[in-house]
Amino acid sequence: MGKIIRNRYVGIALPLLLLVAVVIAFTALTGGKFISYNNLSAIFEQSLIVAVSAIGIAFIYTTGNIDMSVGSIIMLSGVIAGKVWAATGSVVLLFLISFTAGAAMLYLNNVLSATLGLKTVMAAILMMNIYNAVGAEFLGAETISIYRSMKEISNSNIRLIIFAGLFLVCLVVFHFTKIGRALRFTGGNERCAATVGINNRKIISIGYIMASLAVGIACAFTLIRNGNISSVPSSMGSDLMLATVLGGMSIFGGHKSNCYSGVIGAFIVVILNNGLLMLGVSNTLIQGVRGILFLAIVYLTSDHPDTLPSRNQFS
Amino acid sequence: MPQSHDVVLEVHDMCKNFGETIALNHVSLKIEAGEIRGLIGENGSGKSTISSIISGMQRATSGAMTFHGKPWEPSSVLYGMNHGIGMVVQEAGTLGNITVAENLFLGEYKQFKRFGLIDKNAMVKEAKKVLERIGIRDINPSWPVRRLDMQSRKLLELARIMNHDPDILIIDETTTALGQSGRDILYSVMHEVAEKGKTVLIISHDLDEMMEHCDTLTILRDGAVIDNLRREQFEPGLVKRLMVGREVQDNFYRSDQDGYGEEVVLRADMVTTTKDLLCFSMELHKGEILGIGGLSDCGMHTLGHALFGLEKVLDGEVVLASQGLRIKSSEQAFQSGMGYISKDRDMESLEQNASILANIASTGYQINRTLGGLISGRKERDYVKKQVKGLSIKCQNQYQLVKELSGGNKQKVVFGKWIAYDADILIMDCPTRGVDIGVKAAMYQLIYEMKKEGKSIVMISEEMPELMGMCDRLLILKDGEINGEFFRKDGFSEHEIIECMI
Repeated sequence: MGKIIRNRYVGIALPLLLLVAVVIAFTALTGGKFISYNNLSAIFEQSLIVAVSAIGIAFIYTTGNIDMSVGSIIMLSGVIAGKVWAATGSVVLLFLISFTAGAAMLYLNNVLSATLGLKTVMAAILMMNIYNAVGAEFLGAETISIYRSMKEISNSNIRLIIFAGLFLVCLVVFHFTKIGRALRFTGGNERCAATVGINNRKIISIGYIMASLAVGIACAFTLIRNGNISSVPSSMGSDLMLATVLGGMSIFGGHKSNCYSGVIGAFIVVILNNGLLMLGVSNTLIQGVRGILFLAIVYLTSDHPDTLPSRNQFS
Repeated sequence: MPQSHDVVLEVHDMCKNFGETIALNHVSLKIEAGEIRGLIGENGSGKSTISSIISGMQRATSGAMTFHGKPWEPSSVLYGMNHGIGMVVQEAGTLGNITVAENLFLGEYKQFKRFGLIDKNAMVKEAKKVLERIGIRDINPSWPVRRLDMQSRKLLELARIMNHDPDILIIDETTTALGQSGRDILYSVMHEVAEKGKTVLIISHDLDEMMEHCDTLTILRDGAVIDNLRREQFEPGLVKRLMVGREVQDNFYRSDQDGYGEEVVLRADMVTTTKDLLCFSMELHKGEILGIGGLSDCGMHTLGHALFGLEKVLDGEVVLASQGLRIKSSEQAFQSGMGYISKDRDMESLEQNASILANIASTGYQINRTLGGLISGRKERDYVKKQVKGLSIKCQNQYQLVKELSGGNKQKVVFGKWIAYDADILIMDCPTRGVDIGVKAAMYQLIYEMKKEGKSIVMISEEMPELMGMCDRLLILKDGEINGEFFRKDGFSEHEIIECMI
């Protein structure tokens, strides 16, 4: 018993320690500039978006599926909503459409993977390319500025309230209902899950529904934070993977999965991006650093290289 | 070349601890050239631990080994195999998505290299030879392994190891995965190895088999060597007594003639599946233990899948008679109070990387709900605790991962989840595979009690004594069809049943 508690504590404490460590490191390296109010609030706003997506995407990762298309989805949903806003001037429509379009696009990956018998990761990569192309074709190099309309809402607490509500709902669903347990079982061993009456296809779809809701919210949050819309996709897809592993969860899913790791991880990732940029590290180099970090963590946290989960999904 | 009775391998004062659990307690062992040595003992007595240390799969906590008189410290299974010790493991040891030939020569493709490419034809040809050398003729080396049944996979592993001509061949609990034809192959390989002056180390729960084929039996209990018996000392009662540490009743099957109800609870009506079954019909009655037997490829395992909705039924139907419900998926079957124990324990009955708690609780998501539909952690823990206690599952606590348990305890976890679920109809495919006599007796008792409570059981098994000992009615399958029906009330005749199988 003692051993388990220790492990559990370690699992949560390590990412928190890492978070504190990067904050201290960047504060020292930037001579205190890092912890200025403006910078911290920028970090917080960005972290909120990553955290919201990460909570949702955990429902997909848990089942052993991987989806990297979120960055493109956020971009394209913004472009569509922005066009509608430009035509109508309605802020309500802007949010409604960005949420709906974002959620629908993510769910489409699941539909495609189910109907075409593709692995979800394939469906996601396929759609990501299509979304990027559509976004570029639709908007080109143009930028839609929605800054004025966002000003009021960005000063309110509404985002925090929505985040807290979502987090709570997801925590309960993930850790206290049949759905959460079934998600983990499907991720761990589909065949065994089937023998206890778990419909794997159905449970993966439920996971996608949860993720879609969260990503829809992240789409709306992105509009509020950025104040303008362009057709450049964000690196959210890989941010989420990195956030998940930094937060202490395996992206291979299964029984050790949870839906809170990504939240802590989100802050670490955003701080890393922000801090390195402040230190004058070039954007391309940051990508490299993140890649190495990701590899290192996956290597360190997978216990047996010879038993890395192999997924025979839909075969 | 070692002479007979030379000591080939010596294990000296070996201990192995897993955390607080002591798996081996100062074990010493001398294994001679030219002998077939059996390791026998209850689940968790340390048999597999010893063999896995000898083969290089894991290391001992303390103690030493010598092999051919030199210190033996294998760093991996591969090292072990290259230096003369090869093991057929209890769990699946082949890769499903590559061909038989590729599995056979895994890691040794160099020999088939031509102009930098691998000559697959040469590899297949060579594979055919290697398989034939140990008497396997019905496996096509160019097939992917996933198309083979369990027996063929195990034989494939044996062929791979024999291709290295090991000085010590270790066979860990393999026979239970084999039908008669597979066993015959295995036995002939074992005796051939011994005749060549090399050594076989075999682990099995099948006492009859061990007494027939072994020269010496080493009996283990609680991680310690209790005794070594020479062939002339073999006597079933004595061996069992030494294994368990007390007198064991010889007859652990049921002896009653209780009969069963008239009511049909589950019916298969002209069921046809992609493989194996063609227009198959059967009925299961309330309170009945229905045995399904036959040779390993007769279609009985597919039948288990089809009854539980895990195998697509192309034509015909499986009907839950009381509700008039047609079973189309395992989800439906489960929700209607059915349960299924797979022959493939590690892949299909358990999620190895999850805890005992998570595995047993997986049948209780509905039952353990509390107000508002949320799952109560306390209820869930009680649900599991009852089974861990009731079945005396040997573990540190219910949070221990299932993959760390011994074979018999894993099977107890599988039983636990269905007993906790209180399934009305339980389909069991080889329920006592790889389980020692003590646990076996307990399981038979459980099965009998379920029957008395009015539950209906389909017992698919490759072990004739078990079927004859436990079933009310026995269907013998051959080529996907019922070839004979036998009733307990008439008395089972082993001779007639076997006649019917082949």
